[in-house]
Amino acid sequence: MFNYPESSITVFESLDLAKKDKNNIFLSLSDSLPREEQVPFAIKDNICTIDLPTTCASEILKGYYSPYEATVVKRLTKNGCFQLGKTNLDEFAMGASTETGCYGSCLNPWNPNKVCGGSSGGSAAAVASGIVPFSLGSDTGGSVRQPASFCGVFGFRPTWGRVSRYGLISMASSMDTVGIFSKTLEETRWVFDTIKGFDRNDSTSYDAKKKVSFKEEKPKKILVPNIEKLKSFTESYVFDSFSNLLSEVSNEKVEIEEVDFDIFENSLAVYYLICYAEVSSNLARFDGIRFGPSHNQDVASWRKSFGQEVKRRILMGCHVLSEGYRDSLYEKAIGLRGSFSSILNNWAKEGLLLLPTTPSTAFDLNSKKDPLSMYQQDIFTTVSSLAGVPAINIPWGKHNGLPYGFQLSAGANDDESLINQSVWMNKFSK
Amino acid sequence: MKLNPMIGLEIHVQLMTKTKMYCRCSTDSNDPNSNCCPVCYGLPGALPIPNKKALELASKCGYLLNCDLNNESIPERKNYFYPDLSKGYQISQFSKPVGEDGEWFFYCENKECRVSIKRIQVEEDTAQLLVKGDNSFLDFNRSGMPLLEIVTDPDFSSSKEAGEFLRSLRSSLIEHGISNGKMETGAMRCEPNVSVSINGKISNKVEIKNLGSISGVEKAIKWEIENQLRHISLGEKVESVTKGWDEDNHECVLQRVKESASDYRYFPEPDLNVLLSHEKTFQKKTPYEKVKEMLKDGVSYQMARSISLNHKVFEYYSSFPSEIDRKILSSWITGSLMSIWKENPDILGLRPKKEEFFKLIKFLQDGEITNSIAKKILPQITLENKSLDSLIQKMGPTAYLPDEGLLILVKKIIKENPEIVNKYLNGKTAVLKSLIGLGMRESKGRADPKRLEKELEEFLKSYK
Repeated sequence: MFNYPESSITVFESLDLAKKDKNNIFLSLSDSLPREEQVPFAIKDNICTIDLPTTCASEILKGYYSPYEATVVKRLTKNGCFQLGKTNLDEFAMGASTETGCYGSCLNPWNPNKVCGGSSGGSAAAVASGIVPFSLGSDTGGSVRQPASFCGVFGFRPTWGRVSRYGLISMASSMDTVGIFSKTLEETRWVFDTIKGFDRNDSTSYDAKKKVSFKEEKPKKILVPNIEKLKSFTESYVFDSFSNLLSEVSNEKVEIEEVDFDIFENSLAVYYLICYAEVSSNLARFDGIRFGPSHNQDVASWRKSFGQEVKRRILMGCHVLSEGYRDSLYEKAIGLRGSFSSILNNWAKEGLLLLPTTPSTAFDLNSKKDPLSMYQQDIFTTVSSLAGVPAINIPWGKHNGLPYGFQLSAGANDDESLINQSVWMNKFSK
Repeated sequence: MKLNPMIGLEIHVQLMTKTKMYCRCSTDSNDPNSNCCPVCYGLPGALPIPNKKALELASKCGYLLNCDLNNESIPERKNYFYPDLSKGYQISQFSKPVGEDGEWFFYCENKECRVSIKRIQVEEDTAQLLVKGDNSFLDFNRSGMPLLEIVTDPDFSSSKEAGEFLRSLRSSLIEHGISNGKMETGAMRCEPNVSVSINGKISNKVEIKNLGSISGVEKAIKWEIENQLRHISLGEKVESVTKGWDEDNHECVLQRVKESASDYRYFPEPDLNVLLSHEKTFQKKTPYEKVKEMLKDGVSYQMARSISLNHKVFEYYSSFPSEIDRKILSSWITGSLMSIWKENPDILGLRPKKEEFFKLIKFLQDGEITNSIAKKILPQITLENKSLDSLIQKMGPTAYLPDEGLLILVKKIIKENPEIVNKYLNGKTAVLKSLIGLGMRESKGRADPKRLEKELEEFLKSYK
């Protein structure tokens, strides 16, 4: 039964804090009153709830109430958790700053001039602000890990398929996962245990065979990307801290091995090609006929109300799948994805992959206008997404008062062991 | 100029499952939008769940059609816009369907035919769009219904061939519980494509939609072939278009011109794993094999054809032991019995009881009962559940009148009907029919009408 790890936050404090939200974290809040023993949590607004609207921060879904509830929400509610509210995100989870939604930007709790990362920025900020002990986000190419790094909390992306996606509004289905934000690894594990496992409404979900209990686990080996290359892709404070960590880890007699950097550089293009393709199809249902406010306007014109990034991805997706381009773009990306996936799972047999989660701390609001520079945010996160393997952000240090994190990634289905090894690794964090 | 029509068929059949292709909603027909869930409506966040039974039926059909079955077939998204398409894509198949490279044999006008089956694939149906006045309505009950698409090569050379193929295929699909094959309800739909090969060069394809019956398919194809031949003979080009069959005006009407090949941007459905086939071998005898067997037993082609097209009729037919004469058996089944069954479909293949019918045919075969008496008895043992023995007991003798009996009968008829006889002798030979009728009635059906006619003629000749 309900045995949630000790949490210092009560539901009532949460509600009070959430109502005072100045950072535009919440898009909607519960108006029903919880029971005292319940644990409050926040839900990214692309996960379907019955009592609260589900908008994806898009004009198209403004005021939309889902008639059914996502499996993850159902499982948490059944296990004594309270749905406090729905959190801000990039429109349809497309972005890395939580600036592109129709409800405006979510501000970083550490510094209101900075972004909180994205696309699950609201959920990361809700935990970082101490409003809730944990929250749900979605991670397709890094949308849980990157905001976790910018907000200084744990952000876990499970193996694709271990947590049901039923009720998670699809962006790129083959990489979409429901992820977890929390302040402790114990809570991450509890939430994961509660939401994981086969769901009859998601035929791609399954139960993993291995049973691993929550404990500290020392990694047998750490793999890191080529250090010289890494240096040129990260800010010096991130790199220096990373180098320090490596020496601390080797002092603990854990072997460290460098691996090729190319895979990270190439993964971005592969990731975005596949993402575009799936987006173009997944968002086709928002054709203006059944969604969007009803009035006499021409139905097709409703698609105009999509934001720039959404439109860009739909158009690019149609392009990469169209005859004449499909083979050289989509098919090629699928081929590379397969080889990345086997490389990563082979690495995982040797040891854990350790990387910075983001090249820097949170950037200024409205500072990244060029989509390509925004995509660069995902350079360290997309490989695990393509391979479908679990990865986690561990809040590491701060620079000028802003947090940044490191990322651990393991092989498919090694989620529990990844969390256990994170416990060991977390001992070195500042 | 050598002109050969080339016809290919795309057939959609609704699979006989309790629930839809990718959700657990019922497939029963019902009030509009009553059998619907988030999956049928294509609501955000909803995910498809494959129907195992549908895949089992699809594999079954693949086996029936001699296809190479893919143990793992790939569901793919076919992306296009239409108001009845809830998700903006249809989950269909493309690169690896359930089955490929099959074949089907059938008879057409006593000639053996073969058609190549290009592919069979599972897909989901769209919602139904109803336009009433200025308003459009959508019924999502049909959204997600399990469909099997069967695509043939353009191997048919006439409308008749296409029709006979459809009849034999439909009968097999019904026999094996794959589909109910009802074209009138849309559970089976057929879209022919028609082109003409001119000295080996193939003209543009015309696709025909809106066909509600197999005879409609035949009529539309026939019309389109004649139309294309007429155009070609005038030196005109056949345009690549989609037409609809107008049943009232009996012609194919232009629906839309194809500007370019549609680009459906297929890609594997990421919300589903591969679809596993449930290959099952089973006893199969296709209508073709049934006809072949019956022809060998001396049954006429027409009779063999109609027995083969309903598996219950064939089962009934083949349940009789070999001592039963197949010619007599088949003519009684296709004649009197099938017309009774047509009126009373619920007793098809069940009544008359096989023992009773066996006796009846045996009596006929042994000359112990006349045809006309048997014809009178058949409805009684079929519909009224009476026993043959007791009926015959009540009737007295039932065998054909012997020669002397027939002669007495002829004399009696002639003697009692001088007026008719006079008419006949004055040249109105057509009145012979009424004399035969009187004779049949007088004999209570025991006279053999042919012999009676002969005897009457002989006898009347001696009057001249």
